Amino acid sequence: MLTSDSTLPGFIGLKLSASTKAYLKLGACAALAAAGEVLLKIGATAQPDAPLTHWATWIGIVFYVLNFVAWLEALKTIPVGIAFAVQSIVQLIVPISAWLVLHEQISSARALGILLVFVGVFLAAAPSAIADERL
Amino acid sequence: MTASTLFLCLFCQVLVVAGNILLKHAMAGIDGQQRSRLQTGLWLFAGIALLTLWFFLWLGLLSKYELSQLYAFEGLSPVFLMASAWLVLGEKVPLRGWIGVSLIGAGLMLVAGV
Repeated sequence: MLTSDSTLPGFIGLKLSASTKAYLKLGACAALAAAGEVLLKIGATAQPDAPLTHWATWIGIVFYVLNFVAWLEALKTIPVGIAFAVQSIVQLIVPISAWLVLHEQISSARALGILLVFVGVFLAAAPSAIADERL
Repeated sequence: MTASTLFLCLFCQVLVVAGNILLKHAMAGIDGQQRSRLQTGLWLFAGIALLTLWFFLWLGLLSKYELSQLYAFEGLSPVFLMASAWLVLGEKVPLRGWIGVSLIGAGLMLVAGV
């Protein structure tokens, strides 16, 4: 993976704690799932009858496989309850991109929901990450 | 939404929660060498099997029902998973974690438009 234990700290010149590396893997996991979803959508829109003939579908599938590998790596150290809660961010890409890219109107209830998920992810993930740093 | 659909939606939740608990159980012991590769492989396989079943059941539900109705249940899964990981795996979750996951659950339901 990109955040492999041996390469990343030397490459950037930073010494990352095990917990930081685990959360980087979790972040990679969310980014791959989000990008995979967008690519599958592009493939399915361009070739509605045969999405497997479109390049975007295949890159999307590769992203989903990498997402699963990153998920297993993250689970080595991060509690699954917290890791899964953090992944809820992925479900916000559709409403947020509809608002940013397609300039769709967003209802105040939906905007509040997006805000609650971000605050919730911060609350769920931050304390354990900080506690691990201090150990 | 009929009783059988409700049951299928809840069954989906059970599959996601149980599948991820199995994956965590498999990965948590992988560096400690407390069990053989075969055992780890079997736990992983069981988790992947449940998540595969979930994937096809979920696709079937998506093809039949409104997305917003189904996504309402997605808000429940982080809460169920954190509670199950606490009960089954004994994961210690700080109070902030419980508050956080409750906000996530409520937020996802608001986003789905319940």
